Amino acid sequence: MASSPLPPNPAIDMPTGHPDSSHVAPTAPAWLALTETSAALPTDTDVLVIGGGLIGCALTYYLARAGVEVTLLERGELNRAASGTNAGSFHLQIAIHQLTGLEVDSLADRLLTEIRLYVEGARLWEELETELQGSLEMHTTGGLMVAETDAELALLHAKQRIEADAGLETHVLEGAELRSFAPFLADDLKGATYCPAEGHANPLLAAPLYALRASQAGAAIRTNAAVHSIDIGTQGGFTVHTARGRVRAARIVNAAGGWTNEVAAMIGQHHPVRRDGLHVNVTEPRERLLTPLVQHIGRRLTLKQASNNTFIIGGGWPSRAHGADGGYRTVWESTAGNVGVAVRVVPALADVRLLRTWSGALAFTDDLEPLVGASRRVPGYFTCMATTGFTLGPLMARMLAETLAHPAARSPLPDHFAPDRTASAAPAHP
Amino acid sequence: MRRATLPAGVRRGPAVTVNVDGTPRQAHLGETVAAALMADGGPAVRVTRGGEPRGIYCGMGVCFECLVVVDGVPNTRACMTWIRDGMDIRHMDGLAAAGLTKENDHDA
Repeated sequence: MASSPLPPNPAIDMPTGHPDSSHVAPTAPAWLALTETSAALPTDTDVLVIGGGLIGCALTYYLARAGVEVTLLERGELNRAASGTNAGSFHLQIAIHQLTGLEVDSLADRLLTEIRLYVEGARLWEELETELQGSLEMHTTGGLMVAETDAELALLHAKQRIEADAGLETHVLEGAELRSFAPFLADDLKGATYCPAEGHANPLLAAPLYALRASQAGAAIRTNAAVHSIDIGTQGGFTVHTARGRVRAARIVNAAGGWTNEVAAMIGQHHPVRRDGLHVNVTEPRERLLTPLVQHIGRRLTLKQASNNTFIIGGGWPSRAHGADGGYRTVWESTAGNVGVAVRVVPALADVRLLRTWSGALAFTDDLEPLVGASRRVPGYFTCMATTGFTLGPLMARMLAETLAHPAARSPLPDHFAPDRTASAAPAHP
Repeated sequence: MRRATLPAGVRRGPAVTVNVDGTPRQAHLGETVAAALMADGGPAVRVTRGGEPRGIYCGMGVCFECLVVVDGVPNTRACMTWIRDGMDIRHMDGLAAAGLTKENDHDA
């Protein structure tokens, strides 16, 4: 059959040199092999980390790199709960959950300490792609936090003063200055703070890359190894009974995130940790509209345009607990409410189609402070979890790893992170 | 330009004028944007962000290959969109209408 020449078509006969289709993202590292994660458990280990989220994987990495013998046990697969389902934002500016119903000035001391910690956490993230030799789709894009009302604008000014004291650069932008800096924002917003150090990374990459590098540094990482019970040895140490057999450990770290208390209960402890479900939404890709992360001082919103040009819309809208294992179901009211706030703040999103909404977990402490350090009640037992765990997780893991690797040295962890700061034994169950 | 021919006995809806990439074209009510673009000649409706041509594939709204810009809204399925009088249709290049491409469309 003779082929007739195709008519010219502007859509394919583009004169511009398109990149070759083989030109895609730089080669991703080979992820941790199933043959390793499903290998037999070691019989003995110095440190046993329970929980394969971002903090557990990071802690295992820092310990292995420091030459500590370490084993990580994960009940399912790595990075499946809060660590892999959050929206990937770095939160540095004082946020809504730190302010709700409270006066900024009366909180100044606590907020100062917190912000300094967040700044240090962000600094660690800045160097993390180099440290782990791989892409985390890390972008320091800067972040805007918008105000809709005069009261919210006053709050932006108040928080900006505290942030300046803590060494976090933020600017309050209003009127024409804001319009020209962020033309994508709704015209009638009262103002916004801009924080150049904020940004985002891909939560699907961070924990797995930590795990890979930990394994390469000598750590044992085992999945589908749920911990069922823990015996405290009379001579110190622990015997940990799992779905895949028994491990003896000199020290154990509870890095179970939202499930911290399920593990703590196995040794009669209870910590001020709770979990909740939250929504994240993603849209179709569109032309680049915005670079910075966008948040709201008075309503729940995080909004960013990812590397692939989709919009990721989150901010902690609730989902509904479902099932005995602590899963969460999406609720359409949260999706509608969340995207409603996004369209209110960035009106050009109005005709952008939502592709998916998912429900993830969120772990937090009652006082919102990290829960990191040695237990005073159970020698050899440690916890490692943080509210705003994506931003702070790697830093918390590194600080605890220092304590575990150099037990004789003075710990860098402040007392108010202590796991039993409001200690009580596990509530008695009938 | 080569045009598709209709089998005997098939009647088309009323003719209307639409804009395809800024040029007035005749189309017919009761037909989809995909049908109109096919009748108009070219097999490809867009170029992906990776630079590859895409045309009308499944024709029933499933594959999302036939995306075009309709009245300014990108990523619109040509096969699921009815022709309207005065409709503005543009081929896509990456994430934008062809001819309006910005550099960053190809980076993902």
